[in-house]
Parts: sequence; structure tokens; C-alpha cells
Amino acid sequence: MAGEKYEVHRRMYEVLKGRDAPGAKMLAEWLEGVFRAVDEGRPIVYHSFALFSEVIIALDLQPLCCEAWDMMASRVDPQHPLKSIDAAHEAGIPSEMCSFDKAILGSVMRETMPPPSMIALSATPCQNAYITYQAVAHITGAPMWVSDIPYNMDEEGAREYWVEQYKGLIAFLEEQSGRKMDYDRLREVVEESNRCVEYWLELMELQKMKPAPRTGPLWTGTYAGMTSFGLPSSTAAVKATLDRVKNDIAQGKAAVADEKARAVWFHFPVGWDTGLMKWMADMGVSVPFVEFDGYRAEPVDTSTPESMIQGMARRALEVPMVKIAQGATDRYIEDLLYVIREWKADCAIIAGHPGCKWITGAHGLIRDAFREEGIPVLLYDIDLVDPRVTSEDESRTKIEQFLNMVLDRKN
Amino acid sequence: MYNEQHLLLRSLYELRKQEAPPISGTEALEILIAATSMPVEEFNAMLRQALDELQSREGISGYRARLLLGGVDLEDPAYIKLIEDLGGLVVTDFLCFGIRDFWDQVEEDVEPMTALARRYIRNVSCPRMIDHDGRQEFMEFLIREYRVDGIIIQRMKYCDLWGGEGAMIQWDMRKNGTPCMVLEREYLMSSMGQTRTRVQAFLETIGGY
Repeated sequence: MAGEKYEVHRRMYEVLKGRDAPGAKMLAEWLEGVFRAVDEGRPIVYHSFALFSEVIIALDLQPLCCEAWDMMASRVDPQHPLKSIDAAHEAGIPSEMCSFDKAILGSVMRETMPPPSMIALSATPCQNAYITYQAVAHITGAPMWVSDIPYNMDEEGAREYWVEQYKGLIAFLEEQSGRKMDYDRLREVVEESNRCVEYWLELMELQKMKPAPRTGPLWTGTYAGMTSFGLPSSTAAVKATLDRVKNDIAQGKAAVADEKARAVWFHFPVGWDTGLMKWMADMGVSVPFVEFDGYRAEPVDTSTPESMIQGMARRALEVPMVKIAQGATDRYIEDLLYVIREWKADCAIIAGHPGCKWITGAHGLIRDAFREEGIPVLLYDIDLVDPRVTSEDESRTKIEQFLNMVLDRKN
Repeated sequence: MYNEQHLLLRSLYELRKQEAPPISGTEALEILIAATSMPVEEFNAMLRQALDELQSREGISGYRARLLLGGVDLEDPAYIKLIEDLGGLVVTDFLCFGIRDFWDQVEEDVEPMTALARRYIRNVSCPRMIDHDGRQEFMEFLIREYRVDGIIIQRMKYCDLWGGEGAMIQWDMRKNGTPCMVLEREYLMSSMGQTRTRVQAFLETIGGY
């Protein structure tokens, strides 16, 4: 064991491994893999949530999604991300940068996240991540690959270019690790992630029902995508959630029995206000769709190495945030309106996370588009990681006023 | 013509290496802004004339410190004037409209579009490109060549790229012993009193009396 390093995560591991729930088992396995890699000196590959872990797993390397590492720590120690954010500020990182990224950087500086052997990144969704991972590479000395993404994926040659970048990622991992990709192993991994996605899409389809079977973030899929995509544990976790939802539907149970209104939540959930969705449910409002659950991808064709790479590259473009951060804001707005229609929402709440310039910068355009469609939208500033920016009271007051207006309108 | 412009600007920057440079940082930025907005032929003719005149101009001496000014787009010479009025002399830069814009030449013996694209990709980059090591190397070259006493990085609020890069430069400079300060600014000139105080304190820490 590597001493008492990563104490928060080790504590979390101890809690999770004793649980029967497949979601807990999935996270426990992932943490165990990271700790084992640290202890045995196996290569750890940092990757952002924008790149799935299939190729890393197929090469028998240990994936570590930095966003997931920090997010889960706040469940055990709410001060953990704040300490990391403060460490980043003290090192000169500006306060207006994204708190997710500041937390990653601070965790690297505080050595509360195991150091990477290599870093795999995609040039999306934002510049916060872009500069953060450059700084992580600078501090740790780890080599880094960035899959470059064209601005407009509809342009001729753009998709082919992106596929080539994905091949570059595999070549980088092979070169740095000294291992060769076994495409039969990759096929097994991708077939597993295909099954996981299939269950996930079915689950999201069920969320279109009125009343919604679940409200708020489902988390299992988000963590499956970030930590263990392509491993049986992630498939089992998502399937278990799906089974529970089906069971509830069969018994006539819904998240909000007297569902008066439905809101979709764009952006990541407020990590520190864990009671928010329950509080909204008490008002009679369900949230059938949270953007980070909104993964909509087709299965990858596993017939040849080329088809697998093309499919994985295509699927990486469907990751929430990545999907809407490509190209012009029109694409984002179209996606928002699609979700509103499909998940039969009465309104939308868009968290203007301070670091997210591409959302806050689009507020005016979003407001205009929603006004045109006659859909109420709340655009409000809230830091999704750091409660010191907007307090719980302040946040809930804004949401309450908005939802009261929506409910009045419906009545 | 643009390559010629780049060579002429390099000649201008050569003069700034002198112990008593004949041109201030404020004036240099005025020239650089003209380079981005004037017809290139006309600009080149005027710069040639200016270079001739500068040969016989008395150099600037008695400054407190030789400074490198880095960071984001800066198109207001008044910002540099504020620094120079306090006794600092900006002898070189690492600005989007400055040295990073003209340092590299476009290859003339390859197909023009390819040559232009190569220059955009390979020139001394903005932190948008994953090449901090390359930027650091170039900055260290500038520190040596221009005998820089201190670095001021001005970053525009909400520019994440320079926000992170500025911090990294400070970490690097802490290691090599070159004093470095990061100043936040708005697009328009504002908080000038605060900026003045910070620059003054920075010049004192460098040791410029």
C-alpha cells in the first residue's frame, strides 16, 4: 500500500466495497484498480470525461478520469474539492476558471490524486480543460496526447480527421506504454460498452414517461461513462438501475407521484446541493433529464478494427457537453429544444457555471430562442462545485421563484 | 511583403536589445499596431524610414528595470506608458500583436497556402496550442537576448488560456530566478490606480531603487 495517501478515496473505497449495489461495486472496482496501479507501479492514464476509457482498458492500462476522482471525493469529504480549489488559487490560477478544473489542478498539487504516467485528452469541450491539463502535464512531467477536434464536424473531411486523431490517441498510448493494441481484446471491451449504452438508452427512454420514474441525475450512467466504460461492472451498474426503474414502473411508482410540472436541467448537477431534486419534487416538479445523463449514441460496429475506431470516435462526439460544445451555439440551442420536446418538459433550468464561458456567453441567444418557442427558462449563475459562490438559499430562492411562475402558468 | 515586414520589425527589435534603446515599449507597440492596420507596402516604407531615424536617436537610459511584457492582446499603448512612466522600460514582449506575430517567416519555396498554414501552426504559439515547453524556451531566449530584469504578464479577465499560462510562467520563473508578476486587466483601460501601485511595488522588488 502507498502509505495513507489518497486517504479520502481509500475511505470511500472501504465504504463502497461493502455494499451490494452494482453501482457501488463499479466504483469500488475502479478505485481498487487505481490503488493497485499505484502500489504495483502500473501505468495510470489520466483522461477527461470527454474521452471514454475503452482503449485504455483494452491496453490493460489503468484509466483515471480526473473529474470523477474529484467529484466522488466530495461525497465523503465536502471540503475536499474546496481545499483543492484553494490550492489552485494560491498557486496563481484565476478564480474565474472552471471549478472542476481548478479542483483537478489543486488535487494534483496537493498530491491527493495519484500522478499520471500519461495523459489522454480531447480538445473539447473547453479552454479551461485545455490549459488545466497543460498545467497538469507541466507539474507531473507526464506526456500528453490531445485529439484535435474540428470546429464544425459537418464540414467535408472533418469526421475523417477526427477518426485519424482517435487513431493517434491509440498510437500514443501504445508508444508510451510499450504495449500493442490487441483488437480482439478491444472488441470484447467495446461489446461490453455497447451493452452498457443499450441499457442506458433504454433507461433514458423510460424517463420520457409521464410521470417520470426518476427525478434528477441518475449518476450511474455518468460514472459508468467516466470510470469503467467497457468493463462488466459498468454494464451491471446501469442494468441494475434500469431493472429498478422497470420494476417501479410495473408497480405504478413514479419519482413525483403528483407531477405538476417537468423541468430539464442543463449542465452538470449541483454537486454540493444533494437535496435539491428532492426539494423540487416536494414542489411537484420532476427533472426527467439532466444533461449529463443525456448520452445518445448508437452502438459501435465491432466487425473490424477500423469500424471499431470509427465507432468509438463517433461515440466520443456524443458525450454530454462535448456534443453541444462543437461548432456554433445554434447546435446547442437545437439540442436544448430537442430535449425539451422529447422529454416533454414544461421548462428548462440552465446552470450558468462561472467557468463555462460557452454557456454563459450564449445566455442571450438561448433566452431569445426559448422566448420564441414560448418555453420558460431559468438561466442563473451557480458554481456547481463550490458553494461559496452562490449559497444554497440564494440558489433555491431563484429556482423557487421560477418554478412558482411555471406552475402558475400551467394552472 | 509580409516577410519583409517581419524582417523590418526584427530590425526594430534588435535596437531594443541595446543598453540604451532608442525606442520605448510604448512607441514599439504603436508601430506594431500600425503594422496590423496599415497597407503593408506603406507600412514597410515608413518603418524603413523610422529605422534610419532611430539610428541617430539618443537612447533611453536611467530606467529602473528592463521588462518583458507578456500576455493577451494588448492594443492600447497607454498600458505600457503607465509602466514606463514608473521607470520600467519594456524592452521586449510576448504579446499576440507583438513578437509572436512577426517572429517567424512564411516559407517562400513551398505552395503558399501550405506555407501560411505551417506558419500559423508552427510559430511561437498562443497557450491555445499544447506547447508550453516551446513557449517557455522562447521566453528564456528573450530573457537572455534582451537582458530582461523582470516579467509582467497581463491577462484579460476570463481568458482561461492566459490565466493558466500566466501561472505556469510564474512557476517557471520562480525556478530560474526572474521576477515575474501577473496583472489582471479588463479589455478597456480600467483600475489604473491599482495597476500603478502593483507595478510600482514590482519594480521595487526587482531592486530598481
